[in-house]
Amino acid sequence: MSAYLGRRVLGALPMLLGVSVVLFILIHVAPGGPEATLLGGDLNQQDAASLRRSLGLDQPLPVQYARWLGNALRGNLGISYLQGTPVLEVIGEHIGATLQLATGSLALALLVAVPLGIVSATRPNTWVDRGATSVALAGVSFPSFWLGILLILLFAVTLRWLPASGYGDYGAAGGIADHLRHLVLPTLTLASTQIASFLRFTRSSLLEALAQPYVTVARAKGLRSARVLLRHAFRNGLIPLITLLGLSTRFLIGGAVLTETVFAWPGVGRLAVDAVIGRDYPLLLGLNLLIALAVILGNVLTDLLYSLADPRIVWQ
Amino acid sequence: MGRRLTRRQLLAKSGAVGAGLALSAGVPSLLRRTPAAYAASGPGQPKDSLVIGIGGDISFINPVIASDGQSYKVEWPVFDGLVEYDENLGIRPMLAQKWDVSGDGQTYTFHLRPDVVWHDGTPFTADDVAFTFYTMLDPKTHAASRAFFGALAGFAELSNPDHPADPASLPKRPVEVLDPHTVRFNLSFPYAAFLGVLTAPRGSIIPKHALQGQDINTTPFNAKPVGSGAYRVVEWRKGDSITLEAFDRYYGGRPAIRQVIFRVIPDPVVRTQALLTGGVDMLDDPPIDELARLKNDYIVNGIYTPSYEYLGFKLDRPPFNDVRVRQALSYAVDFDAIVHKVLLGYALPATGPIPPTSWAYTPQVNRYEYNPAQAKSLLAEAGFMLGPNGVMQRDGRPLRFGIKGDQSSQSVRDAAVIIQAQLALVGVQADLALLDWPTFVRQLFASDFEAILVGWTGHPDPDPFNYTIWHSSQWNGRNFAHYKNPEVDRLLEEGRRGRDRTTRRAAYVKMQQVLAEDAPYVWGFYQKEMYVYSKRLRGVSLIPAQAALYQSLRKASWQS
Repeated sequence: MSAYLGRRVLGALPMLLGVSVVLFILIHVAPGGPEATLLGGDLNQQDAASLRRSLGLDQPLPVQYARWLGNALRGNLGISYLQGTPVLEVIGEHIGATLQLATGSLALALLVAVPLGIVSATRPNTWVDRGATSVALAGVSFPSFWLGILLILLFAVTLRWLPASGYGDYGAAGGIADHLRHLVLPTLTLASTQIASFLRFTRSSLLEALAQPYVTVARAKGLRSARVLLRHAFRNGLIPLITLLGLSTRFLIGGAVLTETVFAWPGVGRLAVDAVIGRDYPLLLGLNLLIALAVILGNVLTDLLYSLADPRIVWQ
Repeated sequence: MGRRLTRRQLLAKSGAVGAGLALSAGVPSLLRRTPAAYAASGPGQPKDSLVIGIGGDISFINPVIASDGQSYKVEWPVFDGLVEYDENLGIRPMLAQKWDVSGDGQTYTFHLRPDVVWHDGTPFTADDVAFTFYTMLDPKTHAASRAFFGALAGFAELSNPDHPADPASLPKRPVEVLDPHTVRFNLSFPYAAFLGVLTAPRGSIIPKHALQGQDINTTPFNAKPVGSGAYRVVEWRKGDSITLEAFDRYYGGRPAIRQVIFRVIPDPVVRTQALLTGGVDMLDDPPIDELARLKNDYIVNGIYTPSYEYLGFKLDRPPFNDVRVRQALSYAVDFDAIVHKVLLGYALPATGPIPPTSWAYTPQVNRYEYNPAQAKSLLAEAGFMLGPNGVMQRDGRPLRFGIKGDQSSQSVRDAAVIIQAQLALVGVQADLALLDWPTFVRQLFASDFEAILVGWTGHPDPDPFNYTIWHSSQWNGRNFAHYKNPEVDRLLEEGRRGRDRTTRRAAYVKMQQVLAEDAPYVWGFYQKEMYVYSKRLRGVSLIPAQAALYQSLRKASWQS
C-alpha cells in the first residue's frame, strides 16, 4: 500500500506543478491589479507604480513565477497582499471553519441520503420512493443562499432556537456549545445541496445491483433479504457513490462560498472571493493549490475506498 | 499490495463520523437554550458589551497602511491622533493638548499630553509622532493617505520611490522632536488643511517601540496592534470578528462599555436578521429597504459624509469637451428620480463636489433640474440632429458612448439602467460596461473610459477632497477625467492657503459655482451613511466624516 501511495503522491507533484503554471498565468492575465484594494481611492499613478514594483509585479511573468516557485518549494507561499501575513498562515486561520462545515454537511448528507436511497431502491416507484426523491430534489433545487435565508427566518428569527449567523462564542460567551449552535444551520444548508445526488446514485446503483444474477443466487441460497441487500448488493453498489464522494471534495473545500457568505462563516470560500476581488495573487494561488490538492487527495481516497468496497480492485 | 481495512473497521470509523455529526447537528437540549450571543442583550439585564454587525472583514489594524473603509471603523477606537474633528468639523485636542502656528503658517508646534500610555504600558512621546510620519512618507510603506501630507517640507524628496532621501540630508526636516512632549511640523507652504489631515484615524499615531526595524507592510503588529485609544484589540478572528476591550489606563477615562465586538456579516439581509434576533446591537450599512420597518424598534440614524456619486466624462475628448453637451446630459439625467426610487430618499440630489454637511458647501449654484426639452435644445445648439435611428448625430457620427461602473454595487447597477433609459429619451445612446472593481479602478486611473458612474469618498476638509480631483496638475492621479480650468486651479490654491475659514469658504463657494456652470460631471447624489442601533444605547453621535459613528464609541453607554 505504501508503495502505491508513494507512487500516487509522486504522480501528483507534476500535476500540482502544471496546475500552478496555469493558475499563475490565468491570475496574472486577468485585468486589474491589487493597487485598487491596497491603495484605495487615494490612488495615483506614481504610488500604483511604486506599489507594483515593491510587490515585484513589474518583473516579467516567468521571472515572477520562478521566484514564486523557488519560495514555494521551500514551503513559503508568499505574503498575502490583503492581510500582510504569510499565505499558509491566512489559509490556516480559515481552513478549520471550512473543514468543520464540509465534514459535518457531508456526514449529514450521507446519513440522510444513503438510508433513503436504500429504501427507495428496495421499494421502487412506491410513494416512499417518490416522496424521498421529491424531498431530495427540492433540497438541491433551492439555491443555498435562498434556503439559508429561509432557515434563518424560521429557526433564528421566528422560533429563536438558533443564532442567525456567525461562528459563535463571541466575547468568550457560550464556549463550544454556542459554537455548535452556530454550526447547525450552515451544515443543514450545505448538506441539502448534496443529499439529492447521493440519494439518486445510491438508488440507481443499488437497483442495478439488485438485478444482477448473484443477488438471485444469494436469494436462492435462502439468505435473509437484509443480508442480501446490505452485504451483497449494497457493497457492490457503493462504487458510484464513492466516485461521487471523491468528486465532492473540491466542492466542499472551495465551493461553499454562498453558504459561508449567507451564514457569515469564516471559511476559505469567502476568503477566496475576497482574494479574487482584491487581486491578492499569492493568496489566490495558495487557495487554488489547496483545492487542487484536495481534488488529488479525494481521488487517491476514492481509489483506496474502491478496493474496500470491491475486493477485486487491488492497489498495485 | 497493501493492507485492507476490514468491514468492522470501516463501520467503527463511520460510527465515529456519525457521532461527530450528532454533535455538529446540535444536541436537542442545546437548541432550546437561548444562545449566549443574545442572552446578554435581553431586556432588563445589565450589559457591558456592544456587538456591531459590519459588512466585510478589515485588512489591517494600522492607520498608516490600511486603505479600506472597514479598517477605518476599528482604527477609530484603537488609535488616537494628535487632534480630532468635532461634530461641526472644528478641530479639538486629542494626543496634543495645544498647538502654536507660526505667523507664516508653515510651522506647527504641538504640545503633547504627558499622561498618555500605549496599550502595552509604554509612555507615548514625540518620538512616536516623528516615527509615524517618517514611516508614512517612506515610499516602501503602502500608505494610502500619503498624498494628504504633501505639504510637509521635503515630501517629494522623502517619498521619491527611486531615490528616497535621508531626512538628515534635508535643509528642513518635516518633523522635529523638540523634547519628549513637543513636536514641530515644518511645511513647504502655508497649508490651511494641515490640522484637518492630522485628525484621527488617518493621521493617528503608531508606536515607535513596537514597530521600529520591522517591515510595516507585513509586521504581525497589523493584526495585534498596540494603540493609544480608548479600546485595545483583544482578539481578531479573521473573517469572523474583532473583539476590543476598554483600556483601563486611557487618558480620557475608561469607556463605559467594557467590550466592543465587530462581527463580520457580509449579507445585508442576514446582518439585519442578526439585529432582529439580538446577535448584534448595531447595524453598520443597513439595507435601506429595511429602514422603514426597523424604525419602530430601533434608532435609525444617518448623516451626509464627504462623499457623492456622479456620472463623469473623459473631458478632453469629443463630445465631452463641449460644455453644451455636458450641460445637456446634466438636464437629461434625472438623479432626483434615482434618489427616490433606488435610494428611497436616504440621499440628496448633488449640486457639486462638497456635501451639505461641510462648512464650505453652498446651495447657491446653477442647478440642472430634469428637463429633456432643454437637453435636446442644447444638443441642437452643439450641432447634433436626430438621426434616422432615433440617435442624435453630428457630422454623421452618432452621440453614443460607453458608461463604465463597478458591477458589484447594486445602486450603480440600478442607477446605470435608469440613466441609460433617460439618455435614450433625448437621443443619446449609452452602452453599459460594468466591470469588477480592480479592473474598473485600473481603467479609471489610466483614463481609459468615455463615461463613468462612480462615487468619491474623501476627507471632511475640502482641500484633500477636491484638490487632487480638480487641479490640472493631477491628471496622473485622481483627476483622471482630465478637468482643466485655470480659474478652478486658482481657487483651489486660494482654498488650501487661506488663513481662515471665511477666506477659504469664499474660494470654495466660487469653485462650486464655476464647477456647476462647467458641468464636468453630472452631479449624482449625496448618500447618507446609515446606522441602526438599540434604543438603549446612549452617547453615540455622528460626525460628517467617513465611518461617522465610530469616533464616539468611547462615549457610548447602555441605559440601565
